[in-house]
This record gives sequence, C-alpha cells and structure tokens, in this order.
Amino acid sequence: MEAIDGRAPFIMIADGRGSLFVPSGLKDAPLPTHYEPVESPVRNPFYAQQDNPVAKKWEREGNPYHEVGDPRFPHVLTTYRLTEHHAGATPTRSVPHTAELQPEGFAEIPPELADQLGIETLDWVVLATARGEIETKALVTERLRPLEIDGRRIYQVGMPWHFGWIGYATGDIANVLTSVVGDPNTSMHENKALTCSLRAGRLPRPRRSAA
Amino acid sequence: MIRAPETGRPRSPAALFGRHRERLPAEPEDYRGPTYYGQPALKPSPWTWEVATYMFLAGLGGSAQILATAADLLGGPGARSVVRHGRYLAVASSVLGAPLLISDLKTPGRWYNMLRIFRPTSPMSIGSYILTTFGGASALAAAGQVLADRAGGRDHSMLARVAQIPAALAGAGMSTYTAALLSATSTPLWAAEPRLLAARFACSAMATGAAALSLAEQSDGGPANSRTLDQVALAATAAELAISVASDRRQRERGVGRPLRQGGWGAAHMLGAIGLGAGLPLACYGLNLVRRRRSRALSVAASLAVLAGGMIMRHAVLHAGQRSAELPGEYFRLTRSAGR
Amino acid sequence: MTAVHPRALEYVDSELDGVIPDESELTAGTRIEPGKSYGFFTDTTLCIGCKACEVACKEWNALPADDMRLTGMSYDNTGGLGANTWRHVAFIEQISRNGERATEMTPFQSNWLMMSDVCKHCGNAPCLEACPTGAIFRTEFDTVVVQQDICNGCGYCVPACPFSVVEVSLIDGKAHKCTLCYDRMKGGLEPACAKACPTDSIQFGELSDLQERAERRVDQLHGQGAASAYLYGAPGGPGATGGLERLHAFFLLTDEPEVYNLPEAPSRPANRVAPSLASGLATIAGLGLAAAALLAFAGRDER
Repeated sequence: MEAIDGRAPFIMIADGRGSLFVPSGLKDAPLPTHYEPVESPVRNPFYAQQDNPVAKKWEREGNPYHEVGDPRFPHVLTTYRLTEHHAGATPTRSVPHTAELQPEGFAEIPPELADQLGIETLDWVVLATARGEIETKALVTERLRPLEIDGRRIYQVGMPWHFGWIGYATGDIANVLTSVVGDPNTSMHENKALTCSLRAGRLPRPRRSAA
Repeated sequence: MIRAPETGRPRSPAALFGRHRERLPAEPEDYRGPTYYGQPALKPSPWTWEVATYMFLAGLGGSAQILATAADLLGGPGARSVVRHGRYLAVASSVLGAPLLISDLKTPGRWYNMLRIFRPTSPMSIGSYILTTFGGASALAAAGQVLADRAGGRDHSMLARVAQIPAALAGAGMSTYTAALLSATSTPLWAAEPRLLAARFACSAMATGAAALSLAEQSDGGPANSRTLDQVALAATAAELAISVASDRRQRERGVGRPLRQGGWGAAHMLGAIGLGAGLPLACYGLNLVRRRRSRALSVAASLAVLAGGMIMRHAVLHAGQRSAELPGEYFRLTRSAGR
Repeated sequence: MTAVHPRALEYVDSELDGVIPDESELTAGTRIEPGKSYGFFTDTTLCIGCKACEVACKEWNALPADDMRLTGMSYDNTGGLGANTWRHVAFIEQISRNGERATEMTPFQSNWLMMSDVCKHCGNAPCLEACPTGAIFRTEFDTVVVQQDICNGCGYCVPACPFSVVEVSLIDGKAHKCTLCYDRMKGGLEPACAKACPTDSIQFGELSDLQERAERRVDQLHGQGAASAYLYGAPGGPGATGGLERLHAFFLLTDEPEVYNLPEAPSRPANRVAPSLASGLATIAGLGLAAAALLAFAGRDER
C-alpha cells in the first residue's frame, strides 16, 4: 500500500482524504446535510427532519430533553476552552501560576442580552437548562454576536467548562447543564450546542466561596 | 437556607483591587482620552505618615538653624535666647526625624545602605547626606551651646560658632530637598510644578521654623524676639499663600491635582493648610501689627496655627500625591503630547 | 550560519548533526556577550494572548501568585506589573469601532488587542537614577537589575518609574522587577518569556538587531494595510521621550499608548532635580536674607 502523503490529514481513512460522498462506514451517510442539535430554539429551516434521526439518545430520568423552541430555554448555550486551563483543569486549577490567570468560572454574555436582564460584568448569574442550574459570574462581551434566525433574534451565551470546586481557581461545573446525546458514529457528546435560560442572581444554596 | 441577593458590591475593576476609593468629581480640564479599564498607570510611593512628619520636622529644624545662625551673627544681645532655642530645635528635629525615616523603610535593618553611594540624580541620596551633615553639625552646635550655657551663657561657644555655618547651609538643604524628592518622581501632583512645590516647601519651612522659635520666645525668652520672629513668619506665610494660589491655578489649567482640591485630602488641605496654616495666622499677625500693644495670645495662636498648618500641608501633599498616581487621567493629561 | 556560543566549542561535534541543538539555538540566534546591549522587541501583532510568558517568568523566578480574583477586564486577570508579576498580558476588546460591530476580524488582532507588558529597561532608567543605595544598577548586558542583598525598601524607585513597573514587596520588604533573566543570560540562555513565546511575539536580541527587525516589520505591516502600526520605545518615538533616551524593551503597537496603559510622552524625573533645588534654595535664600535683615534691625533697635 502506498504511504499516505503528508498533506492528507484524515489519517484514520485509508487514502487520508475526507469525502462529501461516503458510500459506507457512516451511520448517517452517504451525503452530509443540516440537522439542528437535539436541543434547539428553532425549527430546522431546511427539512421536516429536525435533528439527526440516528443520534444516540438516552431518554431517562436525569437526562430530559426539551421540545424544539421551548420558551423556558430561549438562548443558545455553547461551552468552550480557555488557553489557561486544560480540560477538566484539576492540574491547572491547583497550580497557582495557571490558576491566577483565570481564577473564577464565568459565562460570556452579549451586551444586548445583558442590558435586557440588567446584568453587568462580574454580577452573579444563573444558567439553567433542562438538566439543571448553576450560578456563575458574568463577563459581558461584544465577541458574542446575536443571531438573526428566521426573523427572530437569538442570543448566544458561552461558558468555559474547566471549573470545579477543588483548587485555587473555582467555579460551578458547566457539565451540570449539558445533555447526554451521542454522535451516531463516534458517540461524541453534543455539549457545545445547547439551549439555556439566563437570569441575574444566585442560587439558594450554602455559599462555598467568600465572594 | 435562602439568602437575599447581594447588593452594593463593587462593579468596577478598579474598585476590586482591595482599596475602596472615594470618587472624585470630574473637572472641565480633565482627561477624556482612553485608559486601560480605568486602571492606574503609575504606582504610588509606599510612604506613610512617617515621611510626611519627617518633611515637616526637616523644614522646621533646618530653618530654625538658619534663624539661629542669623541671630548669632547679626542679632543683638537680646537675641541670645533665639540662638539657643534654634540650635536645640535643629538637633531635636534631626534626632526625631532620622528614626522616622528608618522606620518607614521596608527593610529598616539596612538603613546604612543610604550612605553606600552618592547619586546626584537622586534627591533621596542627596538628602541622606544633607541629613547626615545637618545632624552632625547641629549636634556639634548644640553641644557647643550646652557648654556655653553651663559656663554662664555669656561666653560665645567657639565650637557652636564654627559648627553653625555648615549646619545652616545644610539647614537650607533640609528645608528644600524634600520637595525635590517629591518632584523627581512621575507622580502627577508632585511632578507637575516642581519649582512652585519647592518654593512652597521652603516658605513653609521658614514659617514653621520662625513660628516654633516665636513660641519658644513667648514661653522662655523675650517677647521682643517673638515680635521679630512673627514678622519673619508673616513674610514666609504670605509668600507661601501666594505660591499655593499660583500653584493651584497652574494645576487646574493643566488638568492635574484633583486629589488636593477634592475629597478628604482636598478638604484637609483647604481647611488645614490654607485656612489654619495661612488664613488664621495672617489675620493674627496682621491684628498684632496694627494694635498698639502686642497681644501674646494672638502671637501664640498664630504660631500654633502655622505649625499645625505646616504639618497638615505635608500630609495632604503626600497623600493627595499618592492618590494622583492612581488616577490614570491625571498622568495621561501630563504625558499626552500637545494637540491630543 | 548561526553564531556559536564559546561554551559550545568546548564540546566534541555531535554525531547527530542538527539533532542536538547548537548553543545559539537556545538563544534564538543571538550571541550573549558582556558589553553589548540586549533587550526585547515585543511585536503585539503576533501575540495570541496565551500568557506563556507570564507563566514561564513566574516559574523561572519562583514568584508567588497574586490576587485570585476575576477582574472583568476581558481575559486579563493579572491587572498590571508588580513585585510578583514581571510579565503581564493586557487584553483590549475593540469589537465595535465607531458604534459598528465588526463582522470580520481584520488581521493583526486589530479587534482584540493583546500585549505582553514588561519592564522597559529604560536607557536612562528613572528607577536607577532614584535609587539611593545603588541596589539598582546597569548590568554588563546593559539591562537594569535590583540587587536584592542591598535594597532596603525605601520605595523611591516605585513612584519614579513612569511605567508602573517596579514595586516593593510586602512579603520581603524589597523592590522587585523583571531582571531580563540576568541569571539565564549569564548562562548563555535567552530570557524565559522569550523562550516560551510560541509565536515569537517576544523577541530577544541585541538592541541594534531588534531595532532593524522592528523597523522592517513596521514597514511590512504598513504595506499590508495595517497603517496604525508603530514602534513604542524606539529612540525619538513615543515612550522614549523626555530624556529617557530609549526603551531596551520596546513594542510594536497598533493603537494609542494610553489604550495599553502606557504614557505617550513620559519624562525623566531626574531632569526635575536641579530646577526644584534651585527654586527652593533661592526661596530660602530670599527669606533668609529677609530674616537676617529683620534680626539685624531688631538688634540695632536694642542697642
């Protein structure tokens, strides 16, 4: 077999090349199409099929999904990484030199939504999804643009998912909010496309941190 | 347990860094350009009340030595008490002042490193040597004075007469170098008008020195001497007031110095340094000039007011200066090039 | 042809040519010799805001962490330079310009400025000129360092610095700031922050080399449409005004200096010593003469 040349990046595929038309090997082949995430504030504008029909779902207690466009969760929520922490971040939150670079968990909120809800940077906010609620600090930023979909304005809220309660850098755990939905082929969970609600304030529970 | 949402917590990043600072209202000449989240662009000096008190003592003692020397060389026999008081005041000020400075050091055990080198670009280095010379020469002059006192007071002590010359020259340095110390920094309030600040400190030094000596004369000496010293204090206080007014106007034009005009230290400066330190004494001195018989009470009141005002002025200038370093607008007003 | 550090010549040539690095590769091609002037050129258009420089500096110098508190200043939770922080990455979001939100990020991070701030190691360093103990001195590499065994914490360097760099630590009572990794340079290594920087935003080298490189870079950026790029701290330019001569750690910036918390036209505090002393002494002389006259007249009246 010929060796794969260095410019073919799909190393798990025999010829190293990705394809649009995949005759075999994928459960949702042969052609890609647009599906909305399992949790979405809008109907799929292209097809009657809302989301991926072969996505792996675990419909059981503790992992509820909600209907499309559920008014309880109008905003799009995504989770992402920060440079200063690594994944679950137990090592980087426990080392002072990296912990002080991002010492507390936060959620990034567009200014339009923040103004509507009366939220300023460093205020406490509560994020809720169908699975649960957490409290975190707000960082109001223009880097999140409102989406105009189907004549509706939909806001995005973003949250780094590194934080937990052990170590110098602490914060509520973003994975409380995520849903267990798996990619049909890889089972990779869909935790960067969620819906949420947002409100100013804190959760009524005993305080762990001083501030 | 359900708790109510928190209120009144600090919002601005500037307020988060520990210190709860009063907000100073904006003025027309204020900086309106960009800052980095309102963060300070300078660090304030880490000095405390000890340095401000030392500045007061240095000016007072240095000028007292100058007055004592002038009285010794030019004054009549009635002025011997001025000479004596002045020499003792001078040495007392350095004996009290030096430990204050050492105590302000954050590693006081290494205080002697101040004399490790001489750096002409550093008023603190220059001042260390001025203080050493002044302290040493004043001590010799005071020692000579003690000998003269023991011997019955009529003998003029040769030791004191010789030592007083370098002591008086160093005393001139003591009265002014502390202003150079403040001005040779980037702190806006201190760096904006170095000449006016130095002139102000010099006037305050002479006024407080004369006032202290006048008080001493009222209690143990001649009221006639007090009259002369009050005239000196009047001249110095009037000059200081004029310089303060000029300095305030200049700073307003340049958009700096808000912490000395507003807020807590602004009030302390206006009431303490200007009102108590200049207004009240000038009124008292003025009244004493026009009266047929000098009032002892007015003289004493004026002297005390000058001393209190001088002390308050040093503290206000120090603390307001430290505050001005934390206002990015003040600094950028000074450092923006013309036309921006 | 990369320069070879004299120490490397002591070793036999490696059999694995190119696999074991030459000494000069450890110093990014710079030869570190006493007697030459070294510094940093920080090209902020290359900075990705990773803060590797902050961490590398803290690790190498064993510095404690500062406040553990979210500041709300974009991704900058450090705030500024100080006794325990000798490299500080500033973040300035400029997504909106003139009220319009950008829909595309223009190149060279013009919408999210990132800048790694450091001690400027000024040519006529105000901290050095203020230091009365001689603790702050100029090294053989033309950098400015605080000797920890001499400093007595007088704190005069702190307000002298026009860039808010040096600070007296409350933990040990002495002044601290970036040493330009004096210890690493003595060992033939480039400073930790320059070594760690993944994009070579922080470039270490001889000042003349850096200046040349920086000027070429500014021209290149202007040619590519980034007209707002300029050098801060180069001789004759902003940041190196008022008698400071030049900043050995100079920057390529794309917005006004105040946006990055830098003064446009700082001045050398030592220039104020002579005018202040002259004014003060003249005033004392005038008042002293007046006092002398008053005392003389009073003495005459007595006799």
